[in-house]
Amino acid sequence: MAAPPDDVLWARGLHYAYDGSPALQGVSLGVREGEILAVTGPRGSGKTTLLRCMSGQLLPDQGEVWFNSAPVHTLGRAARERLRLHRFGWIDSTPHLVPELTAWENAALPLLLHGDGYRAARSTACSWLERLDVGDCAGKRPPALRQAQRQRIAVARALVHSPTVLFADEPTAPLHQTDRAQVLRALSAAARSQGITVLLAGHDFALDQAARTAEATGAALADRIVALTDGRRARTPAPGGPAAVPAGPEGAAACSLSV
Amino acid sequence: MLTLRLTLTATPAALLLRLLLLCASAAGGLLLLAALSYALEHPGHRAAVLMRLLWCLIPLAATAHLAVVLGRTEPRAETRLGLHTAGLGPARLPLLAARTAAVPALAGSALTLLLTVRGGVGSAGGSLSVLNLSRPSAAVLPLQGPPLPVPAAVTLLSALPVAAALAAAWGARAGAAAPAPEDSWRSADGRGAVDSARRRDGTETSRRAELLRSTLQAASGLLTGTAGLLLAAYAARTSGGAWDLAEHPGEVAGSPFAAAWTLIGVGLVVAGPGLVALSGHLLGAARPGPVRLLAGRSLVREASFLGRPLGGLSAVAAALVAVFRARPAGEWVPAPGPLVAVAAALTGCCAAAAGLAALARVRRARAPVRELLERLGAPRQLGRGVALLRAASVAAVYAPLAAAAGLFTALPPG
Repeated sequence: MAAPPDDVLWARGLHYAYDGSPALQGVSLGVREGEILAVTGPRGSGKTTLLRCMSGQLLPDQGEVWFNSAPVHTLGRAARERLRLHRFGWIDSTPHLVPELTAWENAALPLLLHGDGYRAARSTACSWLERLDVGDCAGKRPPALRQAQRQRIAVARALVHSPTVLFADEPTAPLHQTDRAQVLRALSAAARSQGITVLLAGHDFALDQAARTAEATGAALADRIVALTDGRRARTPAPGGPAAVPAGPEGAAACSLSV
Repeated sequence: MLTLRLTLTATPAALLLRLLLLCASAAGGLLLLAALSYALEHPGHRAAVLMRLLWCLIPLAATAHLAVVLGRTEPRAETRLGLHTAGLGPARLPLLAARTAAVPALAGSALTLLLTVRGGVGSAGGSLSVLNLSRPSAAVLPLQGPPLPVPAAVTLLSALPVAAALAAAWGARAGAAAPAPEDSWRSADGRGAVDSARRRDGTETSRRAELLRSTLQAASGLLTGTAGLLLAAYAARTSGGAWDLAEHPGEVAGSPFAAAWTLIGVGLVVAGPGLVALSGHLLGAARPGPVRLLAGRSLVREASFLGRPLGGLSAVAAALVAVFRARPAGEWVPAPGPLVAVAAALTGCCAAAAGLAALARVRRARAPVRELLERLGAPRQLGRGVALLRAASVAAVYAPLAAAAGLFTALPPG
């Protein structure tokens, strides 16, 4: 069965279990090109597993994953690695950086892995760091930076090779409110301007719909919200609910975005 | 009981480490008893006896280092986390590590005591004494002197377990964390980690300081080693007639040769971290690709953890080369005295085990980076390439050094 043509990423009936404990129980999902899709649900509802299955890091026990009308679940390990390297970006809930590399080397890692030249990779990575307001940290190593700066470097690393789909697994989990809003705005602005499809997981979109936190949780930025509960799709929250509330000015940190 | 349970559920590698500690402790005890026996046999030769006792310090230090390694790796990280949650925190963990190391060391010492006692502890001349060995073992072990007094023997034999326990506790203390844990900047026992992180924040000045430090380290180690080589050459020139290493190991032990060889070994160990760091800097210089970049930077980062054990390994290799050179004509291997053989085997095995344990530790500490690269979609060949390049560059630094030290060391004329 072929995937619908307008969905860049498409999953049907995904089942996955970690050593017998079920994480996904029949999730189907279509992601349209260029949209920001938020996956929400409490801890343990299968968000991360869903993202890992759709990005080809895990092979589902049952079900199918299609990317650009080509099956991902039948690909071999090497082919999936290539796909991840060239077409996908990944942001973790904690910034996993290589501690011995400087910030720009971390950000440029996908480019270097593509085989780009050292200088070209450096200039691209530094320009992304500038856009994400961490340009002055380019020469420092992760242990000398703050968590918010590290997470922005991880965001830069995920965007630097202009992926087709960006998977963000609770990218704001370790951050404070102001940093959250900033990282999410940077992320969404970059994705919109580059036409990158974003799959954004988070556990507090639906929980906290107060005006000031709507932007901080990413709900305001998402085109669609998909709710997961215990590894299944839950009833979709009413569209426009959280997004209709404007963000308050006092929670936002000063930042200059030129993405 | 906890110690026993942890020992019973340990991994094969950890059990091997314990077994090695047991053997090292037994052999070290034997060396100490031999020194005691010699002292009883020659009450007049105070200097010679002291020299023998001092030479026992090197195997003792090797055993203590093995205990440090055991204290660092045992209990395993997962067990450690569980123990921490259960309330066995950084203050009490060293006690557990001390017990963990003391048990095999005590067993080894007891084994030595059993070996040297024939038919139990008898009373000779009214005082308790450890009787000498039965005929066949006495031919192998140099304990032919008068019976050893039990209190002295027990005191000497208890030195090793005590040293092992203290060393293990020191190895398990809070500051001695793994080289690059996933979140080193957030580790609970974090002052040391944070300090070192500040030092290595990667800015230009700190990088220059890092380079300077590793250069100084390597230079001081190499200078020490060279001084040792020169001293050995001088000793070879000034020494007179032929020495028989097999029959009079004591003469060599008291000569400048011994000091020279020790200097060479110490130099190799001291130069280790600096050399590894320099090779890492060199590897990551001049517009590196991903393989060179990852291999070089990781070598720089892990130099302080990897350098000394690898230096010890290369010293052992150099010693092997020198021993091979020193063999008498026509024989495949030289026949040193049993004591020298025991001491050399002990030190060599301990150094090798410490080196391998350091490699295993570094490999474990790199697991998060491997996982990260897999998540990014880096091909598997990249990981293999990085590992191969690291191994090759370290080997390229150490193999010539060990070969040079082994080949150019002057040996006593024989």
